[in-house]
Amino acid sequence: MATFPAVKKVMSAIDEGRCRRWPWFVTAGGALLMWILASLVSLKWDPEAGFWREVIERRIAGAEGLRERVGDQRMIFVGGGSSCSFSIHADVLTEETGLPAVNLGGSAGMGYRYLIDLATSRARKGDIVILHLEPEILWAAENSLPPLAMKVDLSRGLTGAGRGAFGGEFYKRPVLDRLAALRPGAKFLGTLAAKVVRGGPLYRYRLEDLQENGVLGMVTTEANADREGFQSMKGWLEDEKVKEDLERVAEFGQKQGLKIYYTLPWEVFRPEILEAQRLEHFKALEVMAAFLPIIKDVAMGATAKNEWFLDTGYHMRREPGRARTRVLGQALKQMLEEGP
Amino acid sequence: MNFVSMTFWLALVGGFAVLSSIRILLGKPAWFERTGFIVLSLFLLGMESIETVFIFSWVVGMGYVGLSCRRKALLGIVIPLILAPLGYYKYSGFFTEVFCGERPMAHVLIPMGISFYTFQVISCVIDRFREEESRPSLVDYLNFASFFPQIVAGPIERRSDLLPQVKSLKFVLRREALEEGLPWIVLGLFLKLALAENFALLDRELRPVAVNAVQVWLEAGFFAFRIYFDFAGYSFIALGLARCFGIRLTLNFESPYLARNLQDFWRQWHVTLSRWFRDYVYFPLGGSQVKFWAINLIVVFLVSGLWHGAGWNFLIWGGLHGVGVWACMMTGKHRLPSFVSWGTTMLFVTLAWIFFMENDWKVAWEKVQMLASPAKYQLSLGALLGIFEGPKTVILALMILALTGGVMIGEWYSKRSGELYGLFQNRWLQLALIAGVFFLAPASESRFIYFNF
Repeated sequence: MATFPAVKKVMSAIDEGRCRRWPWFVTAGGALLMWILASLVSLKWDPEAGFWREVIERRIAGAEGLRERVGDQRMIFVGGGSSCSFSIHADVLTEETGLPAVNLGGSAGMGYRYLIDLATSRARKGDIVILHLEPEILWAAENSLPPLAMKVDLSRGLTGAGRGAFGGEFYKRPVLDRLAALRPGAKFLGTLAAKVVRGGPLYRYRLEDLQENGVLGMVTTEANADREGFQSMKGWLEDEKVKEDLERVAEFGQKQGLKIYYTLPWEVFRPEILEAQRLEHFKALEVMAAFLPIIKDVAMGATAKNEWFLDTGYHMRREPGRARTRVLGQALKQMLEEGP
Repeated sequence: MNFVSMTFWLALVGGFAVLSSIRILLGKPAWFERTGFIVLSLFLLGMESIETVFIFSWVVGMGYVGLSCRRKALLGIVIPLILAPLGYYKYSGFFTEVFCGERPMAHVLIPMGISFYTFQVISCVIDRFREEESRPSLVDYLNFASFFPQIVAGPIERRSDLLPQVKSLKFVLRREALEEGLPWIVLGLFLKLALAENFALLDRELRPVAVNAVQVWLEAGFFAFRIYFDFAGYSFIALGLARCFGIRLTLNFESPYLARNLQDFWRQWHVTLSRWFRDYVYFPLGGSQVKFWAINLIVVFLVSGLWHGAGWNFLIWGGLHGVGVWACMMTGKHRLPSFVSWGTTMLFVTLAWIFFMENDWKVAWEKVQMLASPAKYQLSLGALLGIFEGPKTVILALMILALTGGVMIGEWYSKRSGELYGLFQNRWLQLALIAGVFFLAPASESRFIYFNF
């Protein structure tokens, strides 16, 4: 190998470099510089974090603006992952219930604690909060803020986090630890490089598709979402920390005088297992009812119509999304009329 | 004491700064030089949990009782007392399950580092009698047992290697020592965060249930690299931290994946544990000087398997290696071409890891059966891509495997140059490794696999 002069030259340079180490402050300075650069890449150039940061900023601004307009009138806040972002039309909810409503949905990748906190962060005494959370994210507790939430949170200072049901929980982890976790990571960099080379969009969703009523849409030529097979709910809400978190949310609601409900997002399943899946969801909701009141509807979080969905089995197209919100609004109205 | 958590580094820097200030305020007394390290080590251990400190204190305390014994026979009482916490926390559940049919203590967590410091203390006590050494002073002994870089996951140092060094500990950070230690810390962080963590991520992003035998090979291969980079990464950080304070710990890994036979592999993988079993189990059983040396050998590997974890899968893993090393010793005269012997060794090691990574030996056995079934191999491009969760995972796999290839070539070049991992000390490469840590490591929180042992 070392017979080639160029290789020889490189090898001798390597050997020379091995003998002469950097002074410690160069290593430390190099680490600090890389940390800053990596954090900047994460905070500024991560298209996913950038997109959701902007979505959440707009949502919070919208919620605060609406609060100013309606004054002390009771409001509805709906929070959850992208199922909420893509399927809940705030204007339809207002039409059905007569109450001003806001969609405070984010992405499931942010974790349930961040999403619940965001959903409850702008609510006042007497308001209604609907948690439209994907069941998957309630399966296991989060030990720390997921990277997406951390990036969104740190890149815009304090968003909704820290004001809602989980208060300062996110900040228990030392600041430096959280900052150190801003690493972009090989997966992100590799994918970004591939997207740049391919020349396609850096993120599949666009801010232009965020509508005034809070719902997200997308232009897609792809086929409808795949239908899921049967999903067992065995073990759901059995994690002790998840239970503690849900108890905490219920307690927060009581203390703040909020009505906090849980409702299952609609997801697409294969027709042959649809009824079995609905029954499974029904049983799971009985478990959830021990913590929070449930807004149930006939679909029980399952439908077989994949033409209603966009790129995933949770992201509803415009009209089906409006229909789903209408069902939710009617069920809520009925519950409110019936009283506790 | 998680070396990849900022909390650890903050506690270390903060603790060291406070203690250094106290040292200066006290007028740099001689007694503080070594006592300061005991306080720092216990403070860092206490950050994990107070329970950990209590258990550690019991083991170390019993060790000192053992060192104070005048009669060797008393070790028959002291050593079981040293081993008691290890037995309770790590093995009681398993043995109750074996003998009574159910595991009653699923909730009991194994205290961090218990297997490591217990073995180090035992070796210190045995060596006192075996080599007729004098009893060390309490301060030196406490520093030997609690020196923070190696307390939670080794290396398991021998009295003769570490004790003389801790006697001359100074509670200062010298520039030369710092510059000698930092490159090891950087290398360790790179191996752990940029490689081991990405292999863990890759493993999570394969299909949940393997239907293609190629996936089983990938799972085993990813795990093989993950556990190596995880543990070697930890060991290099420990080595570097110790060097910053002028202590030279044993290099616990000597490029084991370049080994050309299983005997070499075990000389190069977790070096200090292999030596411990050789000196305190294999030799006392008679070593290779007795007629039934093969049985001794297999017993050692079974115990080694059990040391790694209380489960049948670990016993099988240990047993497989025992049989493998025995076969290697029996066929030692027949030399194979280097590449073939290296390939065979790696194949065996990778296959054996299946029993290590799967907690349930039956699942591991099903996977091995799958590998042996030609019908289970689907080699079309579509089937191969189907193993991964999506194109992002394929890109990640290609990147990390390319990086791993680079590291392996670096190890090979260093070994050939006569200085293990020497290439990675290159100062330009060091900057690249630092960049790798901050840009390539996934953002998720991480812990070391060997902390479980």
